[in-house]
Amino acid sequence: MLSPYFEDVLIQLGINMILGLSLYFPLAAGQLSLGQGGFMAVGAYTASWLTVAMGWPWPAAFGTAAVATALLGGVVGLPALRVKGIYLVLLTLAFGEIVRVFFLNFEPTGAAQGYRGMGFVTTLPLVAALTALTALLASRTARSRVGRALDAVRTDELAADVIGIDVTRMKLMVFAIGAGVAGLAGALWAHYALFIDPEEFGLHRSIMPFTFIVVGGVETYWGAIVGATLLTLLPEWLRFLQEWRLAFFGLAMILVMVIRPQGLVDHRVVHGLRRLVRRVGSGARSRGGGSSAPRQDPHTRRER
Amino acid sequence: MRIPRKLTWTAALTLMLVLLSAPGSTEAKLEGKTVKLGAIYPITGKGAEWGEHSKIATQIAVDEINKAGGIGGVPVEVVIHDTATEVGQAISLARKLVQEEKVLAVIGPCFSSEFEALAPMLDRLQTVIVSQCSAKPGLSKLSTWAFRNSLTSDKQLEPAVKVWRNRYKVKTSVILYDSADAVSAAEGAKVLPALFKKYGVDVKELLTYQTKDIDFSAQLTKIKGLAPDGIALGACYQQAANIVRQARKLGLKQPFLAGACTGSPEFANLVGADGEGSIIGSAGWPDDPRPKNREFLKKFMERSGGKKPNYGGMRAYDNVYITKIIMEKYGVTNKPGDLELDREKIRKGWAELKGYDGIAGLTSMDEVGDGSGAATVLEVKSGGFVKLDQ
Repeated sequence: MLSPYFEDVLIQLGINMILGLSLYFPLAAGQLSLGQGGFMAVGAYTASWLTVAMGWPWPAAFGTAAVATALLGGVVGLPALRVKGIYLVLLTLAFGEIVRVFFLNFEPTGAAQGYRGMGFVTTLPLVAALTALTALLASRTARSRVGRALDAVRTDELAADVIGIDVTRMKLMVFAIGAGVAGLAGALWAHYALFIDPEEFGLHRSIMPFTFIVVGGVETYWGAIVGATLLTLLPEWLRFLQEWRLAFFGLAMILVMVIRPQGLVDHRVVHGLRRLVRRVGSGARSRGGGSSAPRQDPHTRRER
Repeated sequence: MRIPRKLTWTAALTLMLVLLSAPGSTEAKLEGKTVKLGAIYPITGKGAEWGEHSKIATQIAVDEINKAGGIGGVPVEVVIHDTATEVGQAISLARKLVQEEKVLAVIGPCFSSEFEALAPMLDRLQTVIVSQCSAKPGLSKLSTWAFRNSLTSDKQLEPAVKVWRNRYKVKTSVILYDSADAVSAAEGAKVLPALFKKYGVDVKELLTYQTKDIDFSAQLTKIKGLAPDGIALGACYQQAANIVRQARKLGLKQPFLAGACTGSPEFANLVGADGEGSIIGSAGWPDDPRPKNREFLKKFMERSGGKKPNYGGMRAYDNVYITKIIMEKYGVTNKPGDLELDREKIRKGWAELKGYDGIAGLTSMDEVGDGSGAATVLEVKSGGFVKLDQ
């Protein structure tokens, strides 16, 4: 049986993975958002309010929270279509702050006093299932026609437009999906901590998924997963360093950036691993299952 | 000279009776190699100062107790973990301490946000946690296992409001508070207005700022126009010090009143001459001249590089001693098989705690598990705090 402490760490890891993946979606179309903390807050407060004040069962509340956050993401995403790069970063950053200040002053959910009364819903199996589901969604998106369209939009928006990809729709869609996923992470967090206050969803929450992806790798959704794992577990492993652990943690991050600026996981690593797995598999079954081979093609061209 | 035999017998019997009835002689000794307690303090992050002070004070208490023979003859060990002032870490560390490291009781967490997330879990963990600083009203009632050896901000502020009003003849006041900090916002929006109503001080206006603000001239100019008799703050000491200094620069001469989060010696240090005469409601007086306080202050300043403890540090020290006394008085055995019974005994001990005379003053637990009594009214005087009579 897992030790309860490790179980807690795993639950927090799962929520962080979902949060990391929430940023993968907009990034897949080249949109960097620093407002994921804001979306997480909306999801957390919506789900909590629905379970506490309205007495909804949690699946309905979680679902509604995710959908509502996704819709909000769509609305925020609209102006985001007109701005790019650093301006988009600023816009999403400002959005995150607006959300934080809103909940800071919104009396029905306790304002600065925070909100409580949620039941304990977020268990490890639930988090594991929802993390797997989110990863599956990311994987399906990346490997589908949509994924290739997103690749095109990210690498060259104009060219993508010329070959007939609906750039606007693509960008808006992934931005909304990302927001919804962040909202789900918020709902899970609220029903784990059982107490939320606006300060928890400040800028550091928005930067968290960003560091996950920067360290893990921007190219594939595995980057978000590996980054979240590493950055959640590393501070725990470094606990023996006591007061110095955060300094050491920062140093480790700088080292990663110097040695692997593209992040720990890129397509080459993923394919290398996949090939390895296949070789081991084919050793047992002697050739077969080449169905996923053509899928690599759109990616391999970016390996220089 | 011959001593009559009867007298010898009487004396011997009396002596035996005295020895038998003396406290301590009948107490069962604890078992095991160490008595294990846990602590979760915010040693990094925004609460770093509070956590650091609590940690130093805890270590002082542990060293003293072990030097004097430990708890019931067994040395005490406090496992201290850093929460980084984050709710998630406070939760996982509390569970680690209770379920893996099998501690008998947990001291901390410091911040109300951490405490509020932990308290509902305690009915499942069945272990006492005792916060040394959390001041937000209404949290200890969330579980019978949740205790706070600190004063909620209404208790800290009530005597201070009385002293401040009488001394400066305050009839009208404004309240300026940090709307982004849970405790400050509670003080500014709820606690102070209620106390002012009770003591007949007219609130002219409620003004707010946000934790990270550094310029308060807009609010202070407004206050100047309103010309109240006094200014009450719901603020932490860094901002409170800035507010006081900027107010003096703008020519505001009103006396200041502030609560829980300004009860740090750093506040008096930062405001300097501008803060003279400000009244603080607090839960501990670092410069208390009683011998045991002086002894503690000396040891604390040796370990902290010359800094004086805030009330969190003082109460963390008391918490270790109170836990020791409870364990000895309620017959904790420290046998691994008795862990649940021992934890329940400690809970009972905290719930029934009356009149412990610690370095933070006389401490009792009220019916919900919050500290009561020993609210201290401090006045800022020449860069330090002076205690005022209530």
